Amino acid sequence: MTPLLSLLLYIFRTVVARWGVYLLMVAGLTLSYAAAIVVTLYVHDELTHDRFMAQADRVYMLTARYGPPDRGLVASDRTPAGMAKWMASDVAEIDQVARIVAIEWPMRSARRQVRERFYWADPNIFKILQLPAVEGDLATALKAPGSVVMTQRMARAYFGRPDAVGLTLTTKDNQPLTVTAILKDLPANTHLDREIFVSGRGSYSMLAVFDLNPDYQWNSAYIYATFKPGADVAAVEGRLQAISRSHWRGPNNLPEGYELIRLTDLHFHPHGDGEQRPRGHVGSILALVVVTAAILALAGINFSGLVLAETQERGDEMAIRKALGARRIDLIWQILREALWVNLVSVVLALAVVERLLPALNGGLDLDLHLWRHPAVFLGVLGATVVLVTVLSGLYPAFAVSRPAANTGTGRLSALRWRGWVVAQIALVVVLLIGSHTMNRQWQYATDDALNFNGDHVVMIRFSDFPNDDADFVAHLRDLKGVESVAESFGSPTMDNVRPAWIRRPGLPLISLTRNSAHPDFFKVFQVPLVAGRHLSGTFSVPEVPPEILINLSAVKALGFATPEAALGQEIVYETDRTTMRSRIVGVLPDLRFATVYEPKGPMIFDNFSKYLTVVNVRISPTDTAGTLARIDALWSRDNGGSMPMQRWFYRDYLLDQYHDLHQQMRVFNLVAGVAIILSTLGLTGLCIFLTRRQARDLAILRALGATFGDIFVQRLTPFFVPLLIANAIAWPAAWLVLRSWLGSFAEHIPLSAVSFLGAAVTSVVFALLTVAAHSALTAGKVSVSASLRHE
Amino acid sequence: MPLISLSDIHHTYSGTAQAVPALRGVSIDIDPGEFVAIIGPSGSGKSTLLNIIGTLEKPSQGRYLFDNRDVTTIPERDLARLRATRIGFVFQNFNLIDHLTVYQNIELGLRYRRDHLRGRRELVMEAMDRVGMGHRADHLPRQLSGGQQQRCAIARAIVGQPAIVLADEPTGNLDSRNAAQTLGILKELNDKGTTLIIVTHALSQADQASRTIEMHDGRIHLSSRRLS
Ligand SMILES: Nc1ncnc2c1ncn2[C@@H]1O[C@H](COP(=O)(O)OP(=O)(O)OP(=O)(O)O)[C@@H](O)[C@H]1O
Ligand SMILES: [Mg+2]
Repeated sequence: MTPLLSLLLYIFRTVVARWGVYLLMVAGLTLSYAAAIVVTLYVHDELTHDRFMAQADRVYMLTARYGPPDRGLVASDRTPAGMAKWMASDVAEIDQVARIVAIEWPMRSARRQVRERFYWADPNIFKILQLPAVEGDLATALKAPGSVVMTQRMARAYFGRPDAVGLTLTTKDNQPLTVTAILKDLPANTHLDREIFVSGRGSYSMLAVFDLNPDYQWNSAYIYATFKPGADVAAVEGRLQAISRSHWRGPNNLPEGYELIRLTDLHFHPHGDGEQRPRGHVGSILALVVVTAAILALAGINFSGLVLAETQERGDEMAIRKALGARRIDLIWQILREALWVNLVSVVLALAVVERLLPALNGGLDLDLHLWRHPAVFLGVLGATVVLVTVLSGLYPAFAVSRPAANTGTGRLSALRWRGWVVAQIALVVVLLIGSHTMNRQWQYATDDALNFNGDHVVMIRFSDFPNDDADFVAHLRDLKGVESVAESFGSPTMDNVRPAWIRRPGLPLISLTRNSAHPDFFKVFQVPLVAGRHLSGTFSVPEVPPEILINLSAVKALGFATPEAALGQEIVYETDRTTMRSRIVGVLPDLRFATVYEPKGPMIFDNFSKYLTVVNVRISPTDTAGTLARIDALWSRDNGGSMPMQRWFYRDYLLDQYHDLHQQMRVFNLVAGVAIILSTLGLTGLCIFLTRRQARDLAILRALGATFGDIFVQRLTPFFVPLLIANAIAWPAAWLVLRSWLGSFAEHIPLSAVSFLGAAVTSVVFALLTVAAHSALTAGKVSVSASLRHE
Repeated sequence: MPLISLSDIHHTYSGTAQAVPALRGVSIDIDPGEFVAIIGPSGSGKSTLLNIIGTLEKPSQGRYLFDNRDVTTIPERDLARLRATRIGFVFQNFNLIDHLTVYQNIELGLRYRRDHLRGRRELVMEAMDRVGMGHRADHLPRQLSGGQQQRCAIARAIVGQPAIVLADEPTGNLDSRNAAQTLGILKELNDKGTTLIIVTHALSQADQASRTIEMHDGRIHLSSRRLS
């Protein structure tokens, strides 16, 4: 070797030896800062739902409760449209009250023609929902019939340009609509799920229809209100039931009570029927915050340990500095300053990482996170966090090393302390692994096992509003190549707009159930076997007496039948329904899951009124799905004369959309768990470096006594076994408690599985030992035995 | 036939900014049962030579036969076994393991032999008694005096009944009374047939050896046998 080469090698080795530790520090901190930033953005996003609207905290949404007087069995975000008028006339404290009604109607411009999802809206809606406008005057925009307000995104879709005020499009029956104002695009974290507001003043609008027919009182409108300053909203809430009763007309059920929910609280309010978007869950947010804090703490502890090990290496330097007259405070300052630099570098790197990752993350999780939305606040919080982490993690080593005794060599990180360090790391990893596995299992359960039917390869197609065309279409569908079975239904499993009903059998309490209408083949399409009895014999449009129904097992139990067979042939009266319809039970189904697992599965009825059929469900053959879909599309265009675009979706996609929030939670949690594992790897590697330095002499002695590399290997692994055991002993009960409460937020959930626990234990042990083993294997050959034995 | 045969051994330490030539052509044969003292000025390569003999360091160049086997070519695993069964080490700074008791430290000398020795305990007790440490079995190294620590280290070196004991300045950290006692134990060992090589600065100790080797600048300067 030439002298130059050996010199270069020497420099390289010292740099790696010296900077390896700094690299570990920066890597660990960068990762945890990045995770903390992402989680903070996510949590902030969750906590600021709808706050983009000015004065959102003054806005209340009206919700209704249905069921027997003592039990609110069903909560509904939609309420009878009449309530808005009655509140305006009877509640003096009201400042503004306005409604929106969600609908899907055809909408057409030169560029775009779809069955559009939009709202009918009262003209004063924007006085309550203060959406930011970019063009036009929202105060007057919806005053005239036929006026429409939309977002820039929608304007681009319909007109190819965002400034569309004055342009027109048409809706059903060629009714013209003129754009009067343009809204800024809505953020992703709002409860509103439509971007077009059409004036409810038009005579063809649903709002006008409701106002013309005082007995059309069912859950049809989202009602928002603001109150005059100083109003006692709770007191108003208490009076609403009496007000609604005094005005009530028509045959439908009167709600059992009303609740006014502050718009800014809506996202974390329990589920409501007809909610526009899935709600969030405070528990999950809390868990995420706790885990992220734990990760930051872990990174801080790792950092602290590394700083301590590193400065102890420089014990001589400290002693010399002291001899030269440095005061203790000077030494502490020096260590803190270095710690601050490392933290600053890490946080800048973390920002760069997050900046690059955010687009992918937003895409993958359907979020709209943004680093620099509130730069001042963001940098302030970040700066404070950095200072806090620096001080908390730097102070301990600073004091430990600058202690007067430090230069006598007693300032070692004691065995107890590094074992505690390993325990903390591994315990957190084990909790996260168990949590991750359980979340994924619950997800699997929710989207598959809990359904009790098979929704794979089922395409759902919404009917046009032309009955003849639809009938032709369905008839032709049945003969189409690749189509296995076809059935119309009112909704579909897990669709939120099933109709609640209350029934009772003589002498038994009133029960609440959901009611659906379907073609007999519905159960063939979703592959549901009958438990007892027979299928519906067809569909019918005129209510004959008594119509046929199928009930599920829960309904069998709730109605007080001893066995499914006992229910067959029995009649049921919809007692509270003023139509006093009777039905005969002809068959019993298993408990299908129509709602999400956040709600308990309950009694269910299927009847065969064709009047309610709005969707056709098609099971297609798993082979050549693309070809089959193309044939279905072609058939639709033919049978509908090409005028109405088809709306179809796979049941599976619809289901995943229902669990959007759970999916988001799971992904974020998996991400955080991954970060924790990487962090622990870094921490353990740091610990190995530190222990190797400390144990160099002992291991060299063993080598001199004839120990092989294998012996040394075992020697280095054994101290980790007890900490690993303790870590699992701590993590198991903690995970058990936390996850039991998490699972408790679902009405239906999987049991905790021993597999998660054992799997996490095995994974953590294998992972820790692999890390240690990898480090041992990489460094074993490099240690000079004779050099280690020379000095003490 | 010599137990140890070195011919033209060179050794250079790399891994530092400047390569240091520590040995520059050492040749020597040592017979079983010999007592060799290595002397010479600081930095002359004494420890290096001893570490090479003890297989802790591989020579950069040259041939080394231990009991007629070329140890420069055998795998590391076999070297470890050789150290475990045939070679005992005694160091100037004792090199006991701090958190193990005297008994446990001595037992370490048997641990890596891999032959399932019977009477392990008897062997340890015997070695302890031989160095007069039988009453200190449960003490930790830091509870012992320097001389006691070194006796403990010697017990560890001899517990496995090695063919050769290598001692690098075994009395360097001891006062004269303890030094004499330590050398006495080593000498007694040699009398019973164990080959002994010590590095020392004390000429009085070198005088008791059967052969004295004087190192200078990485070479053997002088090798003299005591006529007995
Ligand atoms: N591990 C090492 N790395 C680099 N150089 C070394 C190493 N060990 C020894 N040396 C160098 O090799 C040369 C011989 O050292 P050695 O330790 O063999 O001398 P010594 O004769 O035992 O000295 P002393 O009487 O002071 O113990 C010296 O110049 C020393 O600096
Ligand atoms: Mg020496």
